[in-house]
Amino acid sequence: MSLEPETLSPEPPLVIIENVSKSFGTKTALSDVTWSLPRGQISGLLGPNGAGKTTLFRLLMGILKASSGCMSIAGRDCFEDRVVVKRLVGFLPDEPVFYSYLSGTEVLELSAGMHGLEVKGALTRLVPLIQRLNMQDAMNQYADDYSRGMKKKLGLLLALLHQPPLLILDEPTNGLDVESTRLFFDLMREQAAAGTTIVFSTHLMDQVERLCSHAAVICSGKLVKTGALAEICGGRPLEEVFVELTTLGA
Amino acid sequence: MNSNLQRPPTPNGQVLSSLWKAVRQRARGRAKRQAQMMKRKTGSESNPLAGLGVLLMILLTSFVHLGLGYTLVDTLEKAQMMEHEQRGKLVVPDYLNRYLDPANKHAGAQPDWMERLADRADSWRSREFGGTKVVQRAKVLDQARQHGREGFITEKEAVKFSLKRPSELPATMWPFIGVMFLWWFLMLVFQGEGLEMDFQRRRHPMWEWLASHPVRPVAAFSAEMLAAFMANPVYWGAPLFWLVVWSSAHGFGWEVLGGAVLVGVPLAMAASCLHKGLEIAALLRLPSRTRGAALGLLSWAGYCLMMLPLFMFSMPMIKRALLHVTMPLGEWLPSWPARMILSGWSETPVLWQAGVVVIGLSVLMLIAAVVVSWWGTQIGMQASHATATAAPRTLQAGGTGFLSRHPLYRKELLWFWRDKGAVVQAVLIPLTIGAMQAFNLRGLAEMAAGYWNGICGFGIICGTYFLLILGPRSLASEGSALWMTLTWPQGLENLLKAKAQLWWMLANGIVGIAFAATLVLFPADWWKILLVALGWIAFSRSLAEKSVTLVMAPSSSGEVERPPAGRQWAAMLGTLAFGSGVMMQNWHAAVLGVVFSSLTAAAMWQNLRARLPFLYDPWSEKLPQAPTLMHSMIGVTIMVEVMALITGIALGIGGVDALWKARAISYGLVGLLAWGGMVSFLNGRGVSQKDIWCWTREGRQAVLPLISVSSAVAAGVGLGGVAMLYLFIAQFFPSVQEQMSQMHDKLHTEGNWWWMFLMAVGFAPVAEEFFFRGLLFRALDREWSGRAALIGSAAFFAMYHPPLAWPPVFAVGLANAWLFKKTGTLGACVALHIAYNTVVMLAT
Repeated sequence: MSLEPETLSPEPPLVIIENVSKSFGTKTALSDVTWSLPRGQISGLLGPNGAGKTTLFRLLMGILKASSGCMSIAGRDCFEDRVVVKRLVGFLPDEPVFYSYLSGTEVLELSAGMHGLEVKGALTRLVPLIQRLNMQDAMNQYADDYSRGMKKKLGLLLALLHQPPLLILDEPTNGLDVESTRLFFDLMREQAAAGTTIVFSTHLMDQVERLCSHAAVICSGKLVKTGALAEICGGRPLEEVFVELTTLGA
Repeated sequence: MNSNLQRPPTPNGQVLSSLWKAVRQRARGRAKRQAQMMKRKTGSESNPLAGLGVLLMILLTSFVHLGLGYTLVDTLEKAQMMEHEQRGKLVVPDYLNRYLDPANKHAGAQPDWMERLADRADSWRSREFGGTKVVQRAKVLDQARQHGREGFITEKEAVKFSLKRPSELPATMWPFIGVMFLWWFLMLVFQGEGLEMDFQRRRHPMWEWLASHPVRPVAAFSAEMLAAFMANPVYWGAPLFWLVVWSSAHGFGWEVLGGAVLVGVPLAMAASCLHKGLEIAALLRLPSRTRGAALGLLSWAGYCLMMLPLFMFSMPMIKRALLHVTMPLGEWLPSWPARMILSGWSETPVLWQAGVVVIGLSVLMLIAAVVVSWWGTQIGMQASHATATAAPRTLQAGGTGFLSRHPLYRKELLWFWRDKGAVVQAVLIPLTIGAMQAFNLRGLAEMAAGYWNGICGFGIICGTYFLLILGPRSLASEGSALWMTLTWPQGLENLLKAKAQLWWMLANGIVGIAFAATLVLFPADWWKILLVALGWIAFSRSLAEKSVTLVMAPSSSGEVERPPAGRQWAAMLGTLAFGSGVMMQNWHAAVLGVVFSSLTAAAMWQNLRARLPFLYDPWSEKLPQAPTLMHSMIGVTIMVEVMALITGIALGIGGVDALWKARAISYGLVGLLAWGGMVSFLNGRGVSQKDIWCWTREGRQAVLPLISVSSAVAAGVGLGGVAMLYLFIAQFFPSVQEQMSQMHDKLHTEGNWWWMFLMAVGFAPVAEEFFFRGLLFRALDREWSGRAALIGSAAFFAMYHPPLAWPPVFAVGLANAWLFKKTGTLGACVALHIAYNTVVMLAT
C-alpha cells in the first residue's frame, strides 16, 4: 500500500537535484538529471543495469563530485558540505561487507563512534530494532560470518544508527527472505511516517508499487520520468510503463 | 531438448584447453593491468619493458633453478671442508701448500712460516668460513703453534668426495642434499600463480561457475589444479635444476638432459597441484580471519625460498648456516632417500634408477595434492565451518576511555589482534623487504656494527623502509569494508590517521629492538642512545604520517597502484639527513632531518586533505588552495640551493676573498628571481600579492601600520640585544669562541662587512619574510594552527642558519610569525627583521 500524494508535506523537498551531470573521463554516467525528493516520502529509483543508479547515490553521498549542476540535502551541497551531509544520510549498499574481525556489536560501536554519538546510548536505542530484526543472538558473532540476509539487516541497523533524515538504500531487499522483506517494508513505512525521507533502488516493480509514493526511472544516465507514482503509472501497471520508458530511453 | 540431454559431456581435452587458456589470459591480464596502471601514472604511451615481462621472468626463474642446483653441488665441497674443521683441522687454499712443506726453502723452511701462512690465509678463510680477517689470522697462528703443520689441510686434500661417487660421501652431508631437494620442491609448491597479497580473498568464484557446465569433474578439477603451472613461468624452468644436479652425479649428456625434462616437468606439475590443494583447503576450511594469513604465509614462504638462493652466491654465510644446521642431523637421519633421488639404489649412479625414484615421488605428491584438496572441499563445500563464531569481548568500547574517544584506533588494534593476516601484511612482508634492503646495505651494516651510532643508524634505515612500504598499502587491509568509512564524516582522513598511528607504533617496536640491543652492547653511551631514540620517535611519527599520504585507492581487483614518483621522493625528505646524521654523529644534520621531515609531513597531509575527497573521483580532482606548505617549502629550498650553487660558482671564479661579495650578489639576484617566480606561479593560481603580504584570515584586525612598524623595529632592536647577550655568553665556550673569532676575521677583511651588511639588511629581510612568513607560516597555520605552527615555522626558519645562530634566529622566527598574525601585515615582520639584523651586524 503506497502513501497517497495528498499526504505530501508542504515543506521544501529534502533532496534537490538540479541539472546534474557526471562524466568519468570521456564516459558520461549521468546527464542533466533533475529530481526532488519530498520529505517523509519513500521514492523508488528504477533503472536497468548500468543506468547510473549507483553513480547518483554516490553523488548524493559526496563520494563523487558532479561535473555540472547542483545537488543538496536539506540545503547542504552534497560535495562541498560532505562532512555534514554524511550526518544526514544513512546508506545501505547492495552487498554490505564488514570488517572480518569485528562482531555485529563492534561494527555498530565503531560506526556510532565515527558519527560522534555516545556509543552506549546509540546502541541501547537500537535494541528494540535489533530484536525486531531477530538479530540479538548474532550481535556478538563476527559480522563476516553472517548470511547475506543478516548482513543486510546489520547494514540497515548501521544506516539507522545515527537517526538520519534521509535513507539511501541500494537494492535493500536483495538477499532477504519473505518474512524479512515484509519486516523491512514495515520498518520503511514507520520511518517515513516518522518523517524520514527514503530513496531506494530496485529492479522489482511490485516492491515500488507496494512501498513508494514517488518514483523515478533512469535509463542511460538520464532520468526519463519522475513524479508521484500514480502520475507515472497513469492507471497502467508499473512494469509496462517501465519497459516502455526504458526502451524509448535506450 | 532430448537431444541436448543425450549429448555427452564436453570432452576433457576441450575443457582443459579452454580453462588453461583462461588461466594464461588471467596472468597476461595481470601484467597488462600493471602496465596500464603505470601508463596512467607516468603518461607514457608504451612501456618498452612490458613485452619483455614474460621473457625476463623466465630468465629470472631459470636463474633460481640453476642457482639452487649449483648451490647443492658447490656446498658439498664446503661441507667436506667444514667436516675437517669440525675434526680440528684448519683448511687453507691449495696455493699455500708451500708453507706446509718443511722442505720448501722459500716458504715452509722459513722460521716465520706460521706468520706468513696466517697473513696469506686470513682473507680466504674469512670468506669461506666467516669471521673477520683478524679472527682468522689469530686462529691460524694459534693452530700452527699448537699443532704445527699437522693442524692444516689444503682445500684439494679436504675435498675428496663428489656426487659421482655417492657411496663414499660421509653421512653428515646427505641431510644437506636432502634439504636442498626439499627446498627446491617447496619453493615450487609455495609459488602458485604468482605473488599473492590479496588478504581479503573470498571463496573462489570459478568453482560454482565451472560446476554449472556439462563438464566432467575430473577435467575441471585438473585444469584448476594445474592453473599455477600454466600461469607461472617459475614452474617451466624446473628441469634446469635436475640438469645441474644430475650432471654432477652422472656426467653431462643428452640422456641427462632428457631425464631432467622427464622428471622436472611432472614434479613441477605435482608442486602446482599441491599448491592448489593447499589453497583450496585454506580457502574452504579456514575462517576469513585466518584464511588471508594462511595464503599470505604460503606466498611469503615461496618468495623467500625463491629469493634466498639468489643471495647465496654473494653470501656464503647462508650456506654455512645451512651446513651447520644439517650436518649434525646426519648421525640419526638415513641417507638413502636423498641418495636414491640423486643416483638411484645401486652403488654407482644409475640415471634411470634415479628417474624412476623421482617420477615415483611425483606420483606420490600428486596423490597428496588430491587428498589435501579433497579434505578441503569435503568439509568446505558443505560450509560447515561457516557457522558464525562469537567474537571475544576485547578492548571494550563505551565510557570515556581513550578507545571510546578514538574508535578507529580500537578497530585497528582489534584487526591486529584478531586477524592473523595482519601480522603477515603489517610485519612479515615489510620486514622481509626491509631485510632485502639490509642485505643490499650489508657493507654498511658490517661497518656500523662496531659503533653504537652505527647500529642505531642501521635500525633507523630499516624502520624507514618498513614505514615507506606499509604506508601506501594502508587502505589494502580495509578490503570491501571500506564503504563503511565513506559513510562517516571525515572517515577516510581519520582512518588514515589511525593507520599512521599504528604503523608508527609498530615501527617503534621494531627499531626499539635495535636501540635496546645497542644499549646492551654500549651501556656507557646510554644517554646518547636515549636522545637518538627520542629523535627517532619524533622523526618516525612524521615519517608514518608521510607514508600514509602515499595511499592510493585500491582497485576493484584489490591491487594497489604505485604512488607517483614525486610524492615518494617527497616522503623521503629528511630521511637521509636524520639517518646519516645519526650514523656519522652529525647531530646538526640529524636535527635538520627531524625538522624537515615534520614540515614535509604537514605539507603532504595538507595536499592529501585536498586530494582525499577525490580519491574515488580523480576526474574531478582540483589543485589544493595556493600557497600550500609544499609550495613554500619548494620555494625556500630552490632559493637556498640556487644561491648556494651561484655562490659556489662565484667562489670558484673569484676565490675565497670574493665569498661575501658573491653571497650578497647571489642572494639579491636569486631572492629576486625566486620571488618573481613565486609571484608569477601564485598569480596563475589566482593568488595576488596582497593575499601574501596581508594576513587576511577572518577575525584578524590589522592595527595602524605606523604603530605596527614602530613596535616591530623596537622588538627587532630588543631581540638583537638579546642575541648579543647570547653570543657574549656563548663565547665562554672555547669551540664557540674559535668559531666567532674566525667569523670576525673574515668579516673584517677587504670590505666583506659591507657586502654582508647589504645581504643581511637589504635583501634577506624582504626575501625571507616573503617565503618564511608570507608563504610558509600562513600555510602551516592552516595545517597546525596556534602554537605548533609558530614553533614549526620558526624551527624551519632557524634551520637555514648556522647552528650557532639557531636560538636567536628561532626567537626572531617566533616573534615575526606572531607579529604577522597579530598586525596582519608582512611589513612589520620585514621591519623587525631589518632592525634585528642591523643590531647584530653593527655589534659584530
